[in-house]
Amino acid sequence: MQVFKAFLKVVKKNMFTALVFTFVFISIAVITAHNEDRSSFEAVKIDLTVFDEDNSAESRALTGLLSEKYHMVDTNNNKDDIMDMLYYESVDCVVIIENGYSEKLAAGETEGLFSTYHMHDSYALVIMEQYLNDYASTVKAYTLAGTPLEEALKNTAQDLAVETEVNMESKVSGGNDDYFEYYNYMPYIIISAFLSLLCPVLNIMERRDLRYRTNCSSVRPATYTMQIFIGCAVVVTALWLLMVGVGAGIYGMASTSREWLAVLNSFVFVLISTAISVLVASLTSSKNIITLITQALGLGMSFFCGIFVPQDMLGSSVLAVGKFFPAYWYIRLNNMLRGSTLLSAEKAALCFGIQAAFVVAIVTVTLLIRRMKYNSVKVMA
Amino acid sequence: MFLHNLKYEFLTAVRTKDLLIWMILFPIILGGFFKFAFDGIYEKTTQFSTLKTAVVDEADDKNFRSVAESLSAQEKPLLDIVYTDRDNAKKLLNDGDVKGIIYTGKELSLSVAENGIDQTTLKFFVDKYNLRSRVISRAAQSDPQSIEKVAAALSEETDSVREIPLTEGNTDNAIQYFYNLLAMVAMFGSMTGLHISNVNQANLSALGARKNCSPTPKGTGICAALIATYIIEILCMLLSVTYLRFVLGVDFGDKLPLVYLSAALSGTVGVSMGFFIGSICCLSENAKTSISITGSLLLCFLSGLMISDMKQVMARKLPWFNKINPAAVISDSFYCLNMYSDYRRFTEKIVTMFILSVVFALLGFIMTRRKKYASL
Repeated sequence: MQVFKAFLKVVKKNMFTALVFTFVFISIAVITAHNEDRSSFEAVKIDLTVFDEDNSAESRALTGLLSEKYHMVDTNNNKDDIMDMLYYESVDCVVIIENGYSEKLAAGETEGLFSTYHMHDSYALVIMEQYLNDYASTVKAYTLAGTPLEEALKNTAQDLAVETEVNMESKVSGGNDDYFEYYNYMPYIIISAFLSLLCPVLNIMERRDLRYRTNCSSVRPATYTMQIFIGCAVVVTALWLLMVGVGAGIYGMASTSREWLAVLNSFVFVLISTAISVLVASLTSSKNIITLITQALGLGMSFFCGIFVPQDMLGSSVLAVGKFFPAYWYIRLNNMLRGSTLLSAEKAALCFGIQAAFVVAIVTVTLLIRRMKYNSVKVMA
Repeated sequence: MFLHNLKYEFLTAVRTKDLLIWMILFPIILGGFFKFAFDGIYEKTTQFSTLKTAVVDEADDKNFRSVAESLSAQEKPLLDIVYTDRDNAKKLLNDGDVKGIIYTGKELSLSVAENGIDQTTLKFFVDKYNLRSRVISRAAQSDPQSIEKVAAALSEETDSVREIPLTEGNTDNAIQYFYNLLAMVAMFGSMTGLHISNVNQANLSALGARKNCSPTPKGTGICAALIATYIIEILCMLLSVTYLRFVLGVDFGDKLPLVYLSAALSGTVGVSMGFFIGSICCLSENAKTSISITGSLLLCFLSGLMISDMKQVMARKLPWFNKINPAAVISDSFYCLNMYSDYRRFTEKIVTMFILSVVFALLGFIMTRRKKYASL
């Protein structure tokens, strides 16, 4: 097992790099994984900022009502901060209750009661404007019916507080949602970390002097390849276990069958990433080109396949291209397992099957390339 | 002597083909990916669009149908309604063909398959419809004669909200991915900065050993290498902006010359940062490379390259960090040019970039100077 031992020695030398990469990528995944309960319907809480320029009992009553229904966000009352918050959607809507609001309301006027800062023609803005219009027209309706303003405000608040019950169809939840969110980012971590670690190691093993030495040794080429394969398997399994361990440490051990399937799904992706790493290492030995491929493949696949941006937000043409990447099928299965889309045995088998087909295809191409390379006189420098 | 060195450092930099390919190909490949992936995502995720909804009208509610018709007749209708039976409605919902199912009856009820802003908007519509009947029935209880007035007031078009526009710039927030892409290209310029250190340190390369025993003062050699690399990196950044603007059609606003200025300066930040990392004495070349790559990636992540609202999260948790994070400063400079009509914040960002470049370069020089090697 000399080749295997040599492989591990080279890995050991590159261990710092591997750990730095793994640590950074796992940090990114942990930071971005966030909790969202999908088992029952929960209205998206609009992030709202209210500037009360009227500061009357009536305006305070409305502010109180809004704070019960929406998520209030503190924002500095200056244009720069408001613009930043609205642009990055840290706040969905900024409402100003205009000066003279209470007088206008008492007089039955509804025009010019509020202002909103306008950035995007968003759903939140449409909902908020409708809500404020409904509030104003309901108060007006009550006052027209002869109800005193104070009571009209109270009645309006009560009426607006009644929420329609929403039935959630297909309430299947795969288990701990954070767990699946973490596994959603796993392809990015796996492909980036594996390419960054395995390619330089494989390139060292293929260096001209080492290769010549091995070729004239008693080790058979098949044994050499097998030992390299075992070396790769040990390294990637260790890294994968580390990633799974971090996930289990933060979000708890997999407890449902769906969570175990997510773990299995990530293992299949490990096989794909290992095959891609060997393929890339067979194509080039330049560190900079490997970095380019790592970043382009890692980030490109993440954006195309729904790792950073959910698949349901991507356009159909993007998803059509995404289908040519293994991460698409990984994410599709992960979404089914977490309960975002309906899970069926056939669909799950299809996702696993296509990922397995990717492994076979990449390994075949890699073997062909390596065979062509080693049959030629030139050996990688 | 300096000009002679500069000429050859420039030639050497141009001939470091794999680095050049990386610097030029990277924005072209990722920019193309981003353009393809994010084309139309703003309209789809942020901007309001009509919601396809199934309605199971078992109660044959004429009042609902008239409200629904009036909503569908609007210029930008809230709902695109499909009247169907209960089973088919569920099938449409499960297949993702409709966002929700509205059931008519004494009060409207709603079924959805997932949480989201679309479903919240539907719930808002149902709430609004139910509110109307609730108000009328309450008014009828207290004063039956007022029902007409109340119904008229509720049906009246109300315009209580005035919109205040904030900017004339491009409000498509998917463009920030391109700002961050440029920041990433600049940050990965640190690889070229790192290369300067590697070829000037005797313990890291044979060329470094040769340079260290040559009569050329070390400062002159490194200055020439740094300036040559700045020039190459600036050219790469300008090429990236040109490609994004004129090939992919990314809208950077109407201050394009300043976008070029900002891109050029951001290139120097990346090179200086790489030079600084490369000058750290006790690390191997591999360790420095991995620190440079992962550090750049992490800074870009915190600036919003992967998750768009990350910069705002940082602004809330660690507001000072966005002011010194080179990637955030670079992407902010493009953002300020697009969104703000004045140049106050843009100037702030440009000055910060300049300071970061100078500080990194100075630290690099300080760590490189007077280094002696007992043995190699």
